[in-house]
Amino acid sequence: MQLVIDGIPCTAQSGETILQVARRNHIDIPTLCHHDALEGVGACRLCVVAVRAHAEAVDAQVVASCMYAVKDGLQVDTATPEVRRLRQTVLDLLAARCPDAPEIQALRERMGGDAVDYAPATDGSKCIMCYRCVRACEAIGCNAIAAVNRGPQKEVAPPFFDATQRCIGCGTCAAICPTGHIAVTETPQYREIWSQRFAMAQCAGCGAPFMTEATREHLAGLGKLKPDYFTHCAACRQRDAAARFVRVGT
Amino acid sequence: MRSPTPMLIIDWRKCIGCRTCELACAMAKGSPEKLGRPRIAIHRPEDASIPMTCLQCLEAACVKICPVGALSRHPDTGAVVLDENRCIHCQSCVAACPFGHISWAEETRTPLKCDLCGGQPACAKFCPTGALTYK
Amino acid sequence: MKLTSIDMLAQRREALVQRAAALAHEVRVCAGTACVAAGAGKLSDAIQREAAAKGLVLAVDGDAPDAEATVRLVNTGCQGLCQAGPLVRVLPQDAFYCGVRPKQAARLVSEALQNNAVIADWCAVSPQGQRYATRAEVPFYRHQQAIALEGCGAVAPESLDDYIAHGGFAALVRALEMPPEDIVQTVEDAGLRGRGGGGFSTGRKWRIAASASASERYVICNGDEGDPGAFMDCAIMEGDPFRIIEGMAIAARAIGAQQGFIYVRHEYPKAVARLDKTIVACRKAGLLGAGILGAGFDFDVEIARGGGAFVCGESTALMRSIEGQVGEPRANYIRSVQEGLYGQPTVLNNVETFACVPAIIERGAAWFAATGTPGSSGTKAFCLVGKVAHTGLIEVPMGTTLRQVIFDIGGGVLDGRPFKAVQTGGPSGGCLGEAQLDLPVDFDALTAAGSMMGSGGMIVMDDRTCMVDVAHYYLSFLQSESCGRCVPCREGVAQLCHLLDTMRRGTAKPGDLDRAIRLAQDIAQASLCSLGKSAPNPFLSAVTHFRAEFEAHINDRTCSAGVCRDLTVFAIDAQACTGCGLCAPACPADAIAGAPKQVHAIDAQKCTGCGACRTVCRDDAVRALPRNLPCN
Repeated sequence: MQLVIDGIPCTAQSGETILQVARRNHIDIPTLCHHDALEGVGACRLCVVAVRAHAEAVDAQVVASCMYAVKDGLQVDTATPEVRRLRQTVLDLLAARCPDAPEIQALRERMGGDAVDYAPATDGSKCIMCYRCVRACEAIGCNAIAAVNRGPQKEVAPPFFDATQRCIGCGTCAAICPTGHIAVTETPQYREIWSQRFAMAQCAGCGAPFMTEATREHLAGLGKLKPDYFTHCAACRQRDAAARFVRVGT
Repeated sequence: MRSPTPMLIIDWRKCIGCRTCELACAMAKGSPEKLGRPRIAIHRPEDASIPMTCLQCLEAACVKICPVGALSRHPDTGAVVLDENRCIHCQSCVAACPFGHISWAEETRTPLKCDLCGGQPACAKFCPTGALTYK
Repeated sequence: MKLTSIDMLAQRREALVQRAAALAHEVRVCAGTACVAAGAGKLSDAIQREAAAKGLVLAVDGDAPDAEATVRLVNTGCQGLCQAGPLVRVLPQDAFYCGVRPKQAARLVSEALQNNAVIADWCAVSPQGQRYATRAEVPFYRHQQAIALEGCGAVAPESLDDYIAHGGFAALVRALEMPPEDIVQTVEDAGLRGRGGGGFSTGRKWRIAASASASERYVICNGDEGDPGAFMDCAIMEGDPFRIIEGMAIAARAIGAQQGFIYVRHEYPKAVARLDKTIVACRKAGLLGAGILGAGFDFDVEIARGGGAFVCGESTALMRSIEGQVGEPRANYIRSVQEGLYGQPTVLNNVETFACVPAIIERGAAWFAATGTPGSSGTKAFCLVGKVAHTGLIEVPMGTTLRQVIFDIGGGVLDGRPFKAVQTGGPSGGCLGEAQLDLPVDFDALTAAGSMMGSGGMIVMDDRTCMVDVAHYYLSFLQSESCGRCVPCREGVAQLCHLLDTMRRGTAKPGDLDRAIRLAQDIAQASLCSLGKSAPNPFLSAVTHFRAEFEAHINDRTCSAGVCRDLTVFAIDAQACTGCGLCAPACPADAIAGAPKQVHAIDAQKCTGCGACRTVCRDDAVRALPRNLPCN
């Protein structure tokens, strides 16, 4: 099907979102909660664009481009003054929510619009409720954390804010968080995350910690392997493989 | 059986351990000002030296274990390529490779693996002895 | 007894109608919420005791009457004039009594029931002292027309027999004898629009669902009524539950659904219990389940109970809630009529919408369309509340003006105070002022003026209402009810609420009003769902019609209504004060002094601005004054 984005004609397949088509055509739309591998939530509203059903239509609708499936004849405007103002407001609000998150402050400055300062939060939280951690945890099959409570009290937490067996301490959530909000403490013996202390498995070759014991169990279960498949860190695995290749060769 | 795509052939007996391949990879994955981290490494078991890098397995463990399908085989180069936009930074691929060919960059929290430089592997281009060839 | 055919239902109805005709003398005691709170339950018990003592045999609710019974006692749903309960209506003379207490049961039985007299002292009375002998004459009722509320206040809510005797399920029979497409056409031609406030064409919604290709289709009744001040759906669910089932069954027949859900808000346990009994009774009678009335139509209904979240009144959040997920809305780019509950085509309609359906099928589209306005046919139920003389539940033809509702039906502003504003549409709606009183109430006219009709809450405000405070109230409500998923609503509504709070406290800065308006407009545009998109409406409409009041709060730090405590102190007008002494003990700050029958005085230093003295003063002698904070 054919649609027009910022005056540029684009082709698209049924089921694609405006964001997908725009990016393919090198039209930049900023995003925060969007992730290519995770199901869209439409939470941040940074990717909003104005759409009209066809070229003669007058009424424009503001939609989230990461969620809106393209239609034949759609007219999309990604950078009108109205749309830019909405993005500025989203970033102004997030900057007030997370005054201590430099990534958000930087994004806001780059937006470069007529910014408004709202009353800042004082809890030091850097969470922007983008749901990336929740969705990633779901993707790896653990579902250990979710968004709990409603409204401004909404936050990401494990069930009852307590240690949960579902968490394997893999740290994916912390790694995918855009602001580094999720606290992880590591020592050679353990990793602490989401109110739980996880024992680190030590590499049988060099003794370095390379994953939590719980992650080992989880991956073994996923890959239908035995936990003792995961015994060595990547570097030692590579070294042992090198030795095997040479031995086989002689 | 002949591979349908080109392969990086590692003839380790020709390897002299000069580590040019590591440098070429670092430069290809970074810039002259800031070298990237190489995805190929010279190992020295006993007296031999052997370049170790991703073998682009036909039935790759990393592809199977990735929960979001961020790793897939490139139809032309034959490389198992990581789509960085799909990666959720779970490190499952790092754990899964039986040969340890995927490493983890702590600074960017991303996996590092050879992608055959999109079809023009820098290591093969600069290997002085032909221990690494791409055909 | 199972009704296995349409003929059997007709015969049953015939028998019940004859039975009812034999007992034309009926006393209807209102058992709606307000009347029960005022003692209606005890009144009903007392009537039954007194009747027994006096040898008067009663038939109660839908029970089969004894041979000697001469009067029927029905504990009905809400009869409407909640202000004046407990309400009792005696038929066939249509006597209408207000404020009947349990200890008056003896007189009711002997005079009104045994002697058939009208008890004048208990009748509704006009401001001039004239007694209304019948309910039809009472202005509150005279201007109304009941369609959705037709059975509410008349039928015994839990009696299937009574519902059938009143004509219940005749519409379903008609629907079973029509091609489904004709049902859709009838509803479309009638011009029925969603009574939950959205106003989408009900017929068109059914048509899209009917034509979508899918293996399953669902009918959902939205009973999550969450607007503060709205209890229309509560009354219908508690007072006429069989009508809702009939309406849903007709919808199911029209679109080809076999399963329905009624989603009832958590805070309506009586509605849940009643609907549960209703469904059980219908199943037993073969009016729900497999092979309804032997007509090859299968349909069953399940109750889903909410968890106490206003946002679950939003249709996509409601469906998630039924599915067992967290009640968060999804963007409505894909309409629920095509992919709704469990991804299947779903018709979701409000309680009141379903309550209109049986009458439309029975009496026809033209009949329904003849009432109301061209764009909004039929009637609308409202809860008229706030500073109005006659609070209660009403139903009027669309197109009735605000003035007619508030003054002709509602009896004007409470205590004769000056009218200031009327709020409609709940947290999604807006405030209109005196200049808009002659607007007709329908889906379009109020929206054009910056408000909206909404689901039916209508809150009257007088000169002692502060519009800044009202805007803050709605935003604070929405802040706690926001699901929290999207930034504009979660963060924006909280920040907007905070800005309004600074205006109430006199700490707002110059330019804050424009900043608030800009934020409000952005929230409306960028939010994910209709909760967020409509959240700024009460504030924006208040600013449109009462901008000067906002500016006075910000620039002059004054609250003319005397509501905002940080900006107000109270003083006693020496000319008006009679020294009755009611104010002093009411003051929580001990700020009032005065000897009996002497003019009292308020110590401005101690006054906290709570206004309790003004509320209790019977001589209108208390004045609100600015606290004299330094101006901006």
